[in-house]
This record gives sequence, structure tokens and C-alpha cells, in this order.
Amino acid sequence: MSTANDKNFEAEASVAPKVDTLGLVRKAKAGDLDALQQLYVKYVNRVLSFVYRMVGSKSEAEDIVQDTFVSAYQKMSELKEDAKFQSWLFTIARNNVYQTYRTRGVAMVSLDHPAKADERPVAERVAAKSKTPEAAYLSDELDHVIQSALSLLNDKQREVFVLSALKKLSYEQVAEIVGRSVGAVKMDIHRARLVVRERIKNYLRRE
Amino acid sequence: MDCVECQENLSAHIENELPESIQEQVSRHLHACRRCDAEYQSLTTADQLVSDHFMIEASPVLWTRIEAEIRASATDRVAATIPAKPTPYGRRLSEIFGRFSWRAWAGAAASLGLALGLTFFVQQQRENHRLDQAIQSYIMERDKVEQNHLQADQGQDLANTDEYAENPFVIEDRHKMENPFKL
Repeated sequence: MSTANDKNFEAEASVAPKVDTLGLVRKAKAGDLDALQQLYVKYVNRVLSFVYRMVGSKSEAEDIVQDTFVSAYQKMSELKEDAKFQSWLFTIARNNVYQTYRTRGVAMVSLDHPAKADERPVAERVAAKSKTPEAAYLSDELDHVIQSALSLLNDKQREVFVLSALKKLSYEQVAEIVGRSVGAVKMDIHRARLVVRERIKNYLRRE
Repeated sequence: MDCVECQENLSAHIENELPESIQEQVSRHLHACRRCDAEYQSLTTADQLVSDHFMIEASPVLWTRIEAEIRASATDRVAATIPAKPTPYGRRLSEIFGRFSWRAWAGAAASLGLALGLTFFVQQQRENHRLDQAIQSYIMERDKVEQNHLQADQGQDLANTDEYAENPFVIEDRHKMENPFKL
């Protein structure tokens, strides 16, 4: 599975402060596609992870993320506060996720037939990530455990938990994205954490 | 703090959401109790696993797909703004309309409208006049017929008066009659 490792997070964290996000948003508003690409590089993994954890299929998640960035570029003029670009982007992604739910009738893919995050053959993925087969297997299994834990949550709990689990999103930003109060969001995140922790704790005990 | 109380507060302790005094009590209990500490370690490990495996990376081709769709939709929008190529008939019309300024076309349209309005008004006036004449002649004819009927009725009434002028109960030579009761 193509999980982002710590090195990627560190790289993103070290690059992020240097990027003038506001400047990029202003340029993208003026139609600068290069600026949008830089914003894409900065946010795509977080948006993709959110969408993937909500729909359970990477190929479907990438389609949704594609629609999200295309919509964002076309509706840039509707963004009133440039500083809130990240929340606005997640709101578009969230709307697209719920649109997908409505189209297919169920929220997440069945746990009986869980979608893999990466549909490529295992050998190819292992080669691509330079991981040992054991590491790839463990990664896939952990991903399945996380996904099965998320499937125990209702839609509201899942979305706030997933958003809060992404780095750099505060309770206030999560509340803004989902259009709920900070108190209600905190409560749902707490309940969701209990469920997910319990599920993973049981998995670790079995191991 | 006992084990039950500690485990109840464990999640809140991890999230650093407890008041400072309770946060310290939980910490002290965790140092002293191996069972609760094991529970704490499993929860924090679970959090760490979620954190480490939560993010996924986008395929390298995703941006290419996004860029291609944006460029395609931009091309579609530009194509939609270009006017359609005029047909020969449309071109001919365009040439005719292009010979004169819009003021000339507006003046011609106003003149045409005025002429049509005047024609309509005159036609209406004529029609009204014809209707007035017809109504007038009808009224005159009707009055004449009524007059004739009235005269005829009056002659009949006089004739009837003459007919009933004589009293049918009057006996002209009443005095000449003999008294039937006279003995």
C-alpha cells in the first residue's frame, strides 16, 4: 500500500512554511495553472487521504480528488477569504464524497470485499516502495484494520475523525468544513477515537 | 486514583483534555500501575499506527489528469464563445443589414409602424361610420313601423267605440210598451 512515511511528512512540513500559500491562491484565482499545481502538491495527499478514508477505494478517491481540484480551479472566484483555501478545498472534496455516496447508495465499500488502497499487484507495489514483502503485507493489513475501524463509525463521526487525524487541521477548521459547532465536533472525534483505538488495540493483542 | 478511575480518564489524558490536577494524578497512577500503563501504551501505539498509516500518496499521473481536464474544459469554454460560421443565407442577410446603420433601421421600423397604425385607424373610423349609418336607418325604419301600428290601433279603437255607442239595454219605444201588470 502506498502510505506516506514519516520522511514525506517531514519533507512536507519543512517545505510548507516556505510556500506562500496566499500568493499562490491569488495567482490561481487569476488563472495561473502553475500556482494551482503548487497548491496541489501541498494539499493533495491530505485531501486524497481524507477522501480515501471516507470512500474506501483509492481509484474512486483519486477520481473524486481530480473533480475536487478541477472544481476548485473553476470556482476560484467564489473563494471569499484566500486564507481559508484549505478548508474550502476540503469542503469541495467532502461535497464530492457525499455526491458519490448518493450515486452508489452506500457510504463505504463492503468489508467483505474491501477495496485496496493501491490496486496494483503486491509485487509491483513492493518494488515501487522498496519495501520487503513482509512490510508490504503488514502495511496492507494495518490499512484494512484502520478502514474496518472507520466502517464502525457513522458518517458524521467518520468525517470529523478523519479530518482531525490529518495533520494541520484544528477543531475549528474541522467544524468549519463540516458546518457544525466545535463542541459537537470535539464530542464526535472523542467517541470515534475510542472506537478506533479499541479496534486497533484488539488487533495488536491478536498479533 | 484507582484503576477504574484511571482507565475512564485514559483517552482524555492522551488527548490532554483533563484539568491539570487530574492529568497529574493519572500520570502518577500510570507510573505505579503496570496494568494501566500497558493499557495506556496500547492506546498510544494505536494512535501512532493510525497516524503513521493514515496518509496515502497520490499517483504520479493524478496531476496530469487534472491539468488535462482543466485545459479541455477551458478549450470547450473558448469554443462556446466563438460564434457559429454563418450559412450563405445568413451571410446574405448580414450583408443587407450591414449596409445601413442601426439608426436608419430604427427610423424605417418606426415609419413602418406609424403607417400601419394610421391605416388601421382610418379603417376603424370608416367601419364605425358605416355602422352608425346602419343603426340610424334601422331606428328610422323601426319608428316608421311603430307609427303605422299606432295609427292602425287608434282607428280600431274608434270603430269599437262606435260599435258599443248604442246601449243594448235601452228600449227606444219604452213608453209605448204596455204595462204587463196593468189589469
